[in-house]
Amino acid sequence: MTAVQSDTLQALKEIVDEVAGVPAEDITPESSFIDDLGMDSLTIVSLFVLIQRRFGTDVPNAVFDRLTTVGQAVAYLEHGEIPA
Amino acid sequence: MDISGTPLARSWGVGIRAVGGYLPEKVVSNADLEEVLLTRDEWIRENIGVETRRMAAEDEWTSDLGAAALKDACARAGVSPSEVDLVICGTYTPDNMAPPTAMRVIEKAGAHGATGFDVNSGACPGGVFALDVGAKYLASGEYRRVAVVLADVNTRTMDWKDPGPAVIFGDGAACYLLERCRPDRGVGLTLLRSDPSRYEAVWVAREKRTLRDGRPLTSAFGDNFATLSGKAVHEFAVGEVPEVIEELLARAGQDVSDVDLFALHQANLYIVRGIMAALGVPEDRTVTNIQKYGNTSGASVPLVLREADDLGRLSPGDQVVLAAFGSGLSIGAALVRWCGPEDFEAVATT
Repeated sequence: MTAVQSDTLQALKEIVDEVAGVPAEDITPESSFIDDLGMDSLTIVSLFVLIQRRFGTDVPNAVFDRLTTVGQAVAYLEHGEIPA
Repeated sequence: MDISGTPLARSWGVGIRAVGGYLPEKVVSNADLEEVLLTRDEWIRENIGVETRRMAAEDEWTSDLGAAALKDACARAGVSPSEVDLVICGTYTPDNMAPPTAMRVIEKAGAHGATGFDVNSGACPGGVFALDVGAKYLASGEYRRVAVVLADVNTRTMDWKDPGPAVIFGDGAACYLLERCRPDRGVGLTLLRSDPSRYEAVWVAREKRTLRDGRPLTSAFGDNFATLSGKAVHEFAVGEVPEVIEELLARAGQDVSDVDLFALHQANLYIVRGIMAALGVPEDRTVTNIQKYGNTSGASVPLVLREADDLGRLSPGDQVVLAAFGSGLSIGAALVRWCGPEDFEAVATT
């Protein structure tokens, strides 16, 4: 994993902690926002609003509906593509 | 087990003479909420259906909203508030824990001489539960004109770090003014259902909350915060409310096709549409106002009636189903044969 990827993942963990109260050590790239982190649709909206503010990247509703894990969100933020 | 009894026979009906309403002046848009919450206008529209809601001014409390709605109802009926016998205030956001908010509604509306009390039936279900209490007082024969006021300052119960309730609720009030009417009109069969096993699905939790820096977080009601599980409420509302409505109609020997208007609690636009779809009824047989006002809790059903009346969607003799549901979890459903002015003039009111 490159340094840039680590920074993105670390920042995302901090945001998840902020909106969902899940400690960073409990979050992995494989963590599912809904099943593993207990987030509901409103919390996921909050997550991507905060991502927009921190990263300056607008993730449209239609896109974040398809980003179901932390790793997929990291990949989208770094490469602008939705992982298969 | 069916433990229902049979209503006592009487020579008059309980008519809804007028429905009053009051919405605070301050309009809060979804874009305004984006300034204070981590949320999005587009998401709220697509998932809740709210575009704007009203918020009480700093010096406006439940009794101010309720008194304004009562005065509006009286003005529409052409009577003075001083001619009201009984004021029942349905609220979960009382001005103070005691005395009842109804006292201040009486005072502020000038309903001098009326007696009154509050009914807390869990906020949103109040649109039918409190109406049922008022209807039964009027049916008793001991009161001639009863004002059932539904008023809440919902936004004062918010934890502004929790977008769930904050994007849904708005402040507002409404008032059913009940009088005797001809016996085949007015409020008919009413069903009330409660399930305390889902107490925490939508509720005002009393608990200590803190900001991330450890400072205490409070609502205008201190350590009391509106809290809800949107998924649980959606499943309950779309799954169970249609069943209660169908039971109500079956008991009354009616069919959904006989109903001219469904006045449904404005919990969420998509819940309203889901209930209509489950009943197999086209959406043009309901009226929604959640887009403008949000979920106003107990006031929402009477505000729908008020809007329907203003739109010319209610005529004397129309069959109307009222359904209010939410915190409890509880559901109230009532069948109302709508009255015109002549239905009240047909019976003595002295």
